[in-house]
Amino acid sequence: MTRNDDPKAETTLTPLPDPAQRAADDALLAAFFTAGKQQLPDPGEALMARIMDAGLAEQAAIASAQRPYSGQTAMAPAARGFGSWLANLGGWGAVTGLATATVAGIWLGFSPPTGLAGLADGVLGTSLSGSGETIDQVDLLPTFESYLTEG
Amino acid sequence: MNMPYDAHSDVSDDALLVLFANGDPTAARLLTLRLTPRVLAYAQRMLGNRAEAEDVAQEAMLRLWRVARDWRQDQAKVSTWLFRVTSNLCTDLLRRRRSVPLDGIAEPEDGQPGALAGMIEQDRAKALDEALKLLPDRQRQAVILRHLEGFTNPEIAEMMEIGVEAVESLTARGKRSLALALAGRREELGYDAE
Repeated sequence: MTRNDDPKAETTLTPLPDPAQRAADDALLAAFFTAGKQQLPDPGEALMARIMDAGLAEQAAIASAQRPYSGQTAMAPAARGFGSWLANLGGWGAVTGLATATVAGIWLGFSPPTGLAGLADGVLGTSLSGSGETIDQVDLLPTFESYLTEG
Repeated sequence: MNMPYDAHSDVSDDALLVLFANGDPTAARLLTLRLTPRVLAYAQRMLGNRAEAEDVAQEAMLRLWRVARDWRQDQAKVSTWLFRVTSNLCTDLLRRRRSVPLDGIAEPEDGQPGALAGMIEQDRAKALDEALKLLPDRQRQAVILRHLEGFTNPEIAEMMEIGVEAVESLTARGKRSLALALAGRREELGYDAE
């Protein structure tokens, strides 16, 4: 007998519990689920780097394809009017996506996540670790976040 | 290379995927940091094998990159799509195994639980993972998606291509089996102290 031999096994071996039993099971399992959520496996640097590199390669492929992002063909020269422009852009759904991406992009530029600079060095290999050299950097455009606090 | 795994949670996955398709390298990094640990955890719990889980996680993320260019925000949530792909990859692998004898499934270890609270949490998570392995594949899948990944029943129904009632039935039966498997370990896992 194997786990996969009988496709009906999962619906026949265990009877469907009544509501009271379900509530009791939920109470017993709550702490186990809480513990399980907190125990994520460490992906490891190698796996993360492989996936990230593949993503960057895919972006390069998209860029080299030189097609506008929207799943549509390039705008026909004879197209006229707002309707044609919207259709060529990909419709309202695409416009919504572009607007969301614009706002998100502005925010990412405004407030990059902690650790991203070090991550970029690691992925792009721009650091000089091991060479004994250091790069002096001057922040010509300091973060604006400090101006948001009052007091 | 130290990477923060929970990065910039205020920007949605969908928005990041659009940015990714527009060539923003930061979006690629943030999506990797945010989604890979979750997908890996899910695959590892489904398959019980780290190497296979890594292969599945990598393949699922590669498919996400490839679909990004044609992604439409109105078609599905990125996480729902990604976990559906991951589910299918896991299901294919499990089917390919065909016959894993029940005797071959690891029994919960009888080791001494840790005395510290942190150790108790780890022991509970480990006990849960071991009990999950005893469930039929689809019960395990439904329970993980609902109670560890936090998807709604309609989202899980979409991923598993079944009805919402079937999802509720799978999770209820799965939790019954989990409760039976874990009830005898409550004292060992520190419940009496609470």
